[in-house]
Amino acid sequence: MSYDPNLSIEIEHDITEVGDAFACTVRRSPSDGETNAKTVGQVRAVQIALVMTTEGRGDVDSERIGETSLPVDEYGMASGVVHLVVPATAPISYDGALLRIVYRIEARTDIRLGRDQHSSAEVLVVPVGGAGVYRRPHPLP
Amino acid sequence: MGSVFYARAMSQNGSGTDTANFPTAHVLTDNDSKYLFGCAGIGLPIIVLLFILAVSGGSTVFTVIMTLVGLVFVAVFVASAMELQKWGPTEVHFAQWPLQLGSTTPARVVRVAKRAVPNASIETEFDIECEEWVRYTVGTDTRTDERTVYERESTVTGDLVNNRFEAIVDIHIPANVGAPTIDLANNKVKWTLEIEIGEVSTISKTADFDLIVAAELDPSLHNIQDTPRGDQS
Repeated sequence: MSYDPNLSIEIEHDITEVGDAFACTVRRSPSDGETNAKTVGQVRAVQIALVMTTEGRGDVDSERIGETSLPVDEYGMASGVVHLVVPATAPISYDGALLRIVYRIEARTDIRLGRDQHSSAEVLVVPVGGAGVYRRPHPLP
Repeated sequence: MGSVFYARAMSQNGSGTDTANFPTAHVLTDNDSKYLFGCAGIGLPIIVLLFILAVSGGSTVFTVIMTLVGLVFVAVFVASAMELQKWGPTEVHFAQWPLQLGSTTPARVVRVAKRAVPNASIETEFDIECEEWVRYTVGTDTRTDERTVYERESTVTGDLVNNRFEAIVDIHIPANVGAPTIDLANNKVKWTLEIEIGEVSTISKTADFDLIVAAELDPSLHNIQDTPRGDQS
């Protein structure tokens, strides 16, 4: 999990079932050095995506699901609620012997001629009917 | 929650599930013709190679080895062809499909004889397996690794009556090991069912089926509560 103080992600529920959606509020505020006349307009967009990644012995399989972007004003401010739908056929969060499946909501600020800002938060994708059951990746204890 | 794979015998006299009213949601079929074509595809080039060696007077040791290998493929080819003459494909009828995590699903195995065979009770072995499969790269080599995370074997007695063999087994998919079917490029979770109808030479046969386990929890588990990580005693 990474966190940039100027880019925050608030997730309504960090556990959701496949076929359902994560609702999150993303806010981007300009840093101290961005408000002068030279830097106005440099922030192009805030991009948000649900990212599925494998970890473990195998080579990494990764997929960006439901990528969307928030409009940014000329001073680099952005705020909005986004819904990231988990496809019904997507794998669930899993902690196995050889492989793990991890989901993160990632937000990235696209800054022209500057270093992009990143924030991410780990979330849990569980089977249908498992929203009230799971507190960690499958399998159940 | 127990990891149980249990089975019950189907009987024509009424015990077990009523096969006449079996609710079939999906049927998987295993056909012997794949062995036939596989053996033909490998055996024919070997026979051609043997012919070339015989004509050109090549190494005797190599010719003998290739002849033995060729004979094995010919034997499997003939056995598969004879099996196709005697028996239809093995079918598994599932009462629910895809399978759910934590569910117990009745499955009916059916095999119909193409010619008259005597009635018999036949032991049938069921082996359900969940396997993690990964592919990884080391330098310029690509390697794979597999780990069986769940396996249960069971035996039931099925009935061969009126040239039709039937057995019913309850297939339990645990929620506390393995995962739903995952099919990514380098990371997979596979469920397989192997059935061996055996010990009677007229029907002895192994069939493999790929199962699909959906990311769906059986309704009986919807009210249980997982403990947060680190809170387990």
